[in-house]
Amino acid sequence: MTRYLRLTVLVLLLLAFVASGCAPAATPTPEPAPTEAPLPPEATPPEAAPTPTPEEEGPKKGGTLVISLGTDVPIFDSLYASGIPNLGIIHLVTEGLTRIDPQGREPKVLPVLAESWEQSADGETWTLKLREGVKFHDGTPFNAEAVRFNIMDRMRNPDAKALAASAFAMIESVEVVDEYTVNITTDGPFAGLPAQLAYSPMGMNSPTQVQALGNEDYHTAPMGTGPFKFVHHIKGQEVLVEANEDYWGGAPYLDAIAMRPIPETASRLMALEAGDSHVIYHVPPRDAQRYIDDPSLGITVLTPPQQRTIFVGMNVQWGPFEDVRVRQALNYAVDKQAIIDSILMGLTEPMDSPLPPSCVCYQSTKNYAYDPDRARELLAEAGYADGFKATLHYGAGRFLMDSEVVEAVQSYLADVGVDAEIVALEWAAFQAAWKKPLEETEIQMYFAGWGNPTVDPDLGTYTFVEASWPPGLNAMRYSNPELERLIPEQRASTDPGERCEIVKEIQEIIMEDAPQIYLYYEPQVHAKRNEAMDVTISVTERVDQMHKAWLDTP
Amino acid sequence: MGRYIIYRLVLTVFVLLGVSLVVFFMIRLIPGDPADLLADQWATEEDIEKLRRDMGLDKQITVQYLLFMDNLRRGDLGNSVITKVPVAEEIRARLPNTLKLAVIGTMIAVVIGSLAGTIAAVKPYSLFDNVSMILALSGVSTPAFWLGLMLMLFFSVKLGWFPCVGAGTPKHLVLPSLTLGLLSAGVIARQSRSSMLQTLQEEYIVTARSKGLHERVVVYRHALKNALIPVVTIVGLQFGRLLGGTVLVESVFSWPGMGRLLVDAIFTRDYPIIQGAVLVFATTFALVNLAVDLLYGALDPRIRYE
Repeated sequence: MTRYLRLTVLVLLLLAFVASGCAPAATPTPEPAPTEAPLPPEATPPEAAPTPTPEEEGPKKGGTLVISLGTDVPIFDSLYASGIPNLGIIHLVTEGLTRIDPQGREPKVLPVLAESWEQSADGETWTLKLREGVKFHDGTPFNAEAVRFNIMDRMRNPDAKALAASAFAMIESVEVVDEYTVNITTDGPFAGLPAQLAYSPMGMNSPTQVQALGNEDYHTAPMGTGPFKFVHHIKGQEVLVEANEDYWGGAPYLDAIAMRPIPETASRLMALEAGDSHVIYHVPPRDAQRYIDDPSLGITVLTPPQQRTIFVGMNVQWGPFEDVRVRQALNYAVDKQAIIDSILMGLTEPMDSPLPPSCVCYQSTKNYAYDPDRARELLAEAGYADGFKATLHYGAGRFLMDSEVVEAVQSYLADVGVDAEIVALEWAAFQAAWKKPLEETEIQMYFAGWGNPTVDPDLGTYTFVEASWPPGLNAMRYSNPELERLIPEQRASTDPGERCEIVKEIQEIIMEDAPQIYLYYEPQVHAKRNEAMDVTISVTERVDQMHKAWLDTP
Repeated sequence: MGRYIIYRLVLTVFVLLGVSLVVFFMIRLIPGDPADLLADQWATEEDIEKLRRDMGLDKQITVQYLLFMDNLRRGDLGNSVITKVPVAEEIRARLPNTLKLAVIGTMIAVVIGSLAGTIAAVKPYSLFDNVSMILALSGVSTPAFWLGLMLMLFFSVKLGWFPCVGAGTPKHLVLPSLTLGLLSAGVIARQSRSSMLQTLQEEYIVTARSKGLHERVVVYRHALKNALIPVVTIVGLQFGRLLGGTVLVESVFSWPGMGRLLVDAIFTRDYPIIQGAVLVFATTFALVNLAVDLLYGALDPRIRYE
C-alpha cells in the first residue's frame, strides 16, 4: 500500500510541474502562425489615455512614483553613464539644452534650457539663446558660461574622459556672447546640431559643484536645473529624486520619483501587477496584449514612436550577396507584415526606409511586399535557382523577440531555397564577431538593429558609408559612390528643405541597393498602472516632462 | 589545532592565487571587449582604442596580470571600467546583502531539512517520510529560477503578503531566502534522514532505550547531535551551491547583492569587478569550509587535526 502511495504522490507532483509550465507564463513563446488579431493602433496611443478620467478637477499633489527599468543607472552623471532609459532618469535632475518631441512631431527639436537657435549663413556657427532666470539646485545661476563649461570643460575635455565625447566631436568651440547667448562653432557646417544637443549624455551641471567635487566624485551629489533633485543612489536597489519646488517649468505634482531596477522581465511584470512599481520599461508584446485585453488589471500599455530599425544585414562582399538581385530577392522572400502581426502583436510597421518614421526628412520610400515568386525569379536571374547556404549571426536577447523573429526569417528564406544557419551568440561575442576585418570575418548575414536617439538623418545615413565599415557599424561592408557624395552634403546643408531633398535621394538609393533585408521598426512597449497619470515616455526612450506627472491615489 | 588552522589558511591563499590566475586569463580570452560594449554609435575606432587604454587593456596580458597582482598586494582591487568606482566599494555595498541572504537561506535549509529528515527517520516509511522525501527530491531538482518566480507569483502578486522585488525591509528578505533555503533543504533532509537512521541503530541507543528513557529523549538528546555531524559537512558543501544559487535568486528578486553584481559585470565585461567578485566568492567559500571542518572536529571528538 505504501509503495503505491509513494508512486501516486510522485505522479501527482510530476503532473503539477507539467501543469504549471502550461499556465500563462510571463515569458512568451509565440508560434509563428498568425492566430492573433493585430493590435489596432488607435487602441494604445502613446500618452496616458485611455485611462479612466478622474471625476474631479486637476492633478493631485503628492506621492512617490516608482519606475522600474531593466538596468540600474551605472553612475549618476550623464558624462559617464550609458543606456538611454538610465540617462532619462539622470535628466530628471540635470537637463539638456534641447529635447526631442516625445511623439516625434514637427518641429522635432524642442527647447529646454536653450530657448531658440539659429544657424549662421556659412553654416559653421549655431547661435543659441538661453532661458533666463534659471538656477541650478545649489543656487548657481544657469548662464552662457555654464553652457561653455559643460560643453568644453566637461564633454569635449579629453582629461574628463567623457563616454560620449565623440558624439560631440563636431563642436570646435563655444563662445560666450553675453550672459544668455552662446555661439557654438562646428567643424564644417553641421545641420543636425540642435538635435545632437538633445542626445542624452549632454546635460547641464552646476560648474560650482563640478569644480567642488571634481569629475570623478560629482555623481555623489549632482546639481542640475531639473524638475527633481538628487537624493540618493543605492547601487542595484534605488535611485531617489525629490521634487524641485522652484523648477522653471512649474513645481512637480509628485513628491518624489524612485527608480528601482528589475533586470528579470518576469519579475518586472509581476512588480507592476502587484503595484510595487507604477511604470515599467520593456514589456514583451504578448503581455502587452494581455494588459490591453483585460482592463480590470488596471494597466495601460505605452507605445511611443519607434526610432530603431531592425534588419538582416548582408555582407555585400561575400558570394551571392555581391549581386543586388539576390539582396532584393531576399527582401521579397520575407513576409514582414506576418512577422509583425504574429510575433510583435501588430505593434509596428515594416521598414520602408533606412530611417525611422520619427526621423527628420523620413520618407516612405520603398516597400518590399511579400512576394516569394518574385524572389525565386530574381534568384534564378542571378544564377541561384538552386538557392545557397549562408550563416545568420545575431546577439540573442538584445532586441525585442529577436530569437523568434530570426527563426521566422530563416523559414521564409528556406521557402525560396536559401538555407540560413542561425548562429546565436551572446551580445558581447556577437559584437566581437562583426568587428573582425574582412579576411577574418565569418559574417554573411546578421540580424541587428540601429537606434537613432537624435531622430536626425545624420546618424541614420552615416552608417551606410565606407568610413563606417568594421570596426564600425557597417558590417555589410556596403558603400555607393553616390552616397559617399550625398551623405556629407546633407550634413553641410544649411537649408532644411534642401537637406530633405538630398536625404530623399539617399533613402531611394539605399532601398534600391538593398544591403539589408528591411524588416521593421522596433516597437517600444512599456506599461504603467492606471493611477500613474500623465507619464510620458519619449521616442528617444526617455521619460519626458515628468513635472507634469501625478498619482491618482485616494 | 592552531597549526592546522594556519596550514588551512596558507592553503587558502594558494587556492585564491590559482583562482585569480584562471579568472583573469579566462575572461580576457573569451570574445567581447568592454570598450566596444561601452562605446556609443558615434565612437570612432580611435575613441575606442583610447577607451581601452584608459581601461588598461592595451598592455600585454601578462603585464596586466602582474599589475593586478601588484595592486592586490596593496589591497587595491582596481576600479570598475564601467563606472570608474573602486571595485572594493561596489563589493562592500553588496556583500552584506548576499551574506544576509546566504546565512538566512542556510538557516532555513538546516532547520527545515534536519527537522524533516529527523522526523522521517523516526517514522520510517510512514506517510510523512514518503511525502517529505519526495519533496526533498524535488527540492534538489527544482530550478532556483522557477521556484523564485512561483513564490513571487503566489505570495506577492496573488496574496500580496510580501513585496515582489528589491530589498530594504525584513519583508523583502522572506521570499528570496525562502527560495534559497528550500532548494538546499532537500539535500539536508535526505542526509539527515539516512544519518539519523544509522545512528538510531547504534548500540548506545539500544542501551538508552533499555534504560527506560522516553523515546523523545533518546532521539533528541542522544541521537540527534551525533546524527547531525555528517550533516554539518553537507552544509559546508551546499554552501557553495548556495552561493551559486544567489546569482539566480538575486536576478529574479532584483536583490542588490554580489550575484547580480557578478552577472551584470560579465555581460559588460567589467573585468576588475568580475575578478574582485570571484575572489570574494572563492574566499567566502574557502573560509566557510574551514569553519565547517573545525566545527566538525569540535562536534566529533573522534576527529583530530594535525
